[in-house]
Amino acid sequence: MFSGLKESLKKLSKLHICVDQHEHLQMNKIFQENFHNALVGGGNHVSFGEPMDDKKHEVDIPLLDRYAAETWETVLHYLVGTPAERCPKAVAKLLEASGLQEDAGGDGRQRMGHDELDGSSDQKLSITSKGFQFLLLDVNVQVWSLLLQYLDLAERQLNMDIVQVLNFLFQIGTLELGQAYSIEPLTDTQTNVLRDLKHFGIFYQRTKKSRRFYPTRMATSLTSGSMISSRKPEDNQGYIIIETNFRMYAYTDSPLQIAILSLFVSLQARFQNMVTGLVTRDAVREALSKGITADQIITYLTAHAHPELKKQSPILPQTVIDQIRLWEMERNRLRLSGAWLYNEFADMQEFNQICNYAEPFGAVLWKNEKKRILAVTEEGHEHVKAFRKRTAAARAGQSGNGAQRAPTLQR
Amino acid sequence: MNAEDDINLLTVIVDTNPAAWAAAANDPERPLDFIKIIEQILIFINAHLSLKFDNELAIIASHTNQSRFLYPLPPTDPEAALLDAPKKPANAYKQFFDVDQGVVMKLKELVAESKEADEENKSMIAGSLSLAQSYINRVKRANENSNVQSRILVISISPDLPSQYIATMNCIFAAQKGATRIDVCRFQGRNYGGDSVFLPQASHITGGIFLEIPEPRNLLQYLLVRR
Repeated sequence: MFSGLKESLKKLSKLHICVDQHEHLQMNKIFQENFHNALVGGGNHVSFGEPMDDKKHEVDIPLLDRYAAETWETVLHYLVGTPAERCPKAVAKLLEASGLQEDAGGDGRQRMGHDELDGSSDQKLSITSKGFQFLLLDVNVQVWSLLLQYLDLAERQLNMDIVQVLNFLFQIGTLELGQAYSIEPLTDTQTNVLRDLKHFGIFYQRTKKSRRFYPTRMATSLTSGSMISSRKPEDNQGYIIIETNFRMYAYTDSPLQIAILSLFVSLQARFQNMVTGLVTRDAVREALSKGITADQIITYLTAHAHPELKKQSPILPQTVIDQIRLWEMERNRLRLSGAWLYNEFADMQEFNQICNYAEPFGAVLWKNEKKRILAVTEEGHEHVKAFRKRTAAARAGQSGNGAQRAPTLQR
Repeated sequence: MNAEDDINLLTVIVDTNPAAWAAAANDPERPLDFIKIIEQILIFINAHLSLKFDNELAIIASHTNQSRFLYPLPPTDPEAALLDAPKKPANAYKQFFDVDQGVVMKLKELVAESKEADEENKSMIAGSLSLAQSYINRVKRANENSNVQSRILVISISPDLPSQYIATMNCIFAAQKGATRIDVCRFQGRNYGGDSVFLPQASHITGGIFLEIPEPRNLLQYLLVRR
C-alpha cells in the first residue's frame, strides 16, 4: 500500500504536478487551477475543442473508421514499400526521421530538397529492422511512436512551438468521435499539425480548405489506452491459421498483410483470397536477424489468428510456439561478458579456497580444476582479489616464507 | 500489481425523497439545499471519471416509490437523443458534460412526475441497493477478463423503513459476498433524518465507511478525501 503511494508521488513529482516543499506536498498552481476548472466545468478556455453545430455535410462514424483504416494502411504500405502507393511528403519525412525507413541510395539530402516526392525516390527508401518491428506492434502503440517522432521532428526541423503541438495532441485525445470541430480556435502551428497528421488518418477533413475537422477513432483513443484494440476485433477479423506441421494459411488479399507475413514465413502459393506458406527455420532466422523477436512474431500471429483457431487453447499450436522460441535461442548460444582470469595457483588448496569464496555470490563464470584456472565476473573481481590478498598474507605469515608466489591476473 | 488495470465501478445511490429534503431545507438550525448537494456530488463524479478513462459509473435515484437510473441511460431511450440538444461548450470535457446533463435532466423528470400523494417519508434504499448490484453484476459479466472493483456510495437522508429490514439486509449480504464495499454519507439533524440503523451495518459488514456529515457544505471535501 505504502510503496504504491510512494511510487505515485514520485510519478507526480516527475511530471511537476506535485512539488515537495518543506515536507509539505503542494500541487502545481496552474495544474490545480485548470483541473478545478475541468471538474466544475468553469473557465473560458477551449481545451476540449470548439464543436461545430450545424449539420452541414454530416460525416458518420463508419466513414471515419473506414477513412482512418485506409489512410493508416496506406502509410504502412508505403513503409513496406508496396509499389504504386503515392505518399504525401509529411509521411515520407516522418518515416525516414523515425528510422523506420532509410535511404538505400545514400543521397537523402538532395532528395529532401525536392518539393515532390515522386515514385522514383520512393524506391530509394527501404524499410529498416526497426520498421519491421514497428509493423508487428499494436495500432495504438504505432500511432504513439510516430507521434513522438513527430514531436521530435517538429521541434528540431520544423521550428514549431513544442508546447502548442503537445497542447493540441492532448486536446485531440478528449474529442468526441463523429463530431465536427472548428479549426478557428487553433493557432497556426496547430493548424499545421492538423494538416500533417491528416495524412496518418488521425483527422478527417472533407476538403483541404474546410473550416472543420473530424477526429477519427485513432485520435479519440489516443489517451484511452486499450480502446482501439478492444474495439478492433469486430471489423478486423483474424485471418491466420497455423497447423502443427508448421503450415500457415492466411485468408487475406491485402498486400500489406502478405508483406508482413513474408517477413517470417516462407510463402509457397498465392490464391485469390489466401496465401499459404511454411514457417521455416530459415525464414524465422532471417526475421530474427532483422531484429524482430520471437515474442513479436508469436504476438502477431496470436493477435491475427483466425476465429477457428481462437477457439483452441492455446491459440497457436504449442509445437510452433516452442519451435520459434528455440530458433531464437539458437541465435543466442554465445554470450559475451567481461571477466578476469585467475591462473597459476600455488596449490589445489588455494584454488579451492578462492572457488569456495567466490561461488556463493555467483562470481565464478567458469573453472577448470585440473588446470587450476578460474574465470571471475567483473563485479566479483574486486572482492575476489581482496580475498586472495588476505589469504595470501595469512598463508605467508603462517608458513614463514614470504616468497609465496601470487597467482597472476589476466584480463 | 494488477490494480492499475482494474476497472473501477462506482455506483452512487442518491436519496431523493422529497419529504425528507423539504424537512431538511426548512430546518431552522442547519438548512440543507438539495441543489447544492447535487452539485457537489456531480463534481465528485467528475473526479471519479477523471482518474482513469476506464472508470465506470452508475447513478441511481432512490425515490419514494421507485428506484431509477439517472446514469447510464438505456441506449434506446429517446431522451438520450435529446441529450445532444444542448451544445457542449468548449470548456467542458465531453464525458463530464454528458453525465452532468443526463443526471440533471433525469432528476427534473423525476421531480415533475412525483405527486403530492407520494410524499410519504420513505425511500427505496433496499430497491436501489439491489438495482445497483444487478448493474454491478452486469458490468462484471461484460468485463470477465479484467478485474472489476465495485463500490456503492449511498447519499442518504430518509429515516429507515422497518418494513424494508429483511430486503436491506439481504442486499448487504449480497454485497459482502460480491466484495462490493458500501460507503454511506448520511445527513441528519434534530428535525429530520434521525438515526439510521441499517446503513451503518451496511458499511460495517462490507468494509466501507459510514460517515455522518457534520457540515453539508463540505460534502465534496468528505467525498474526495475520505475515499
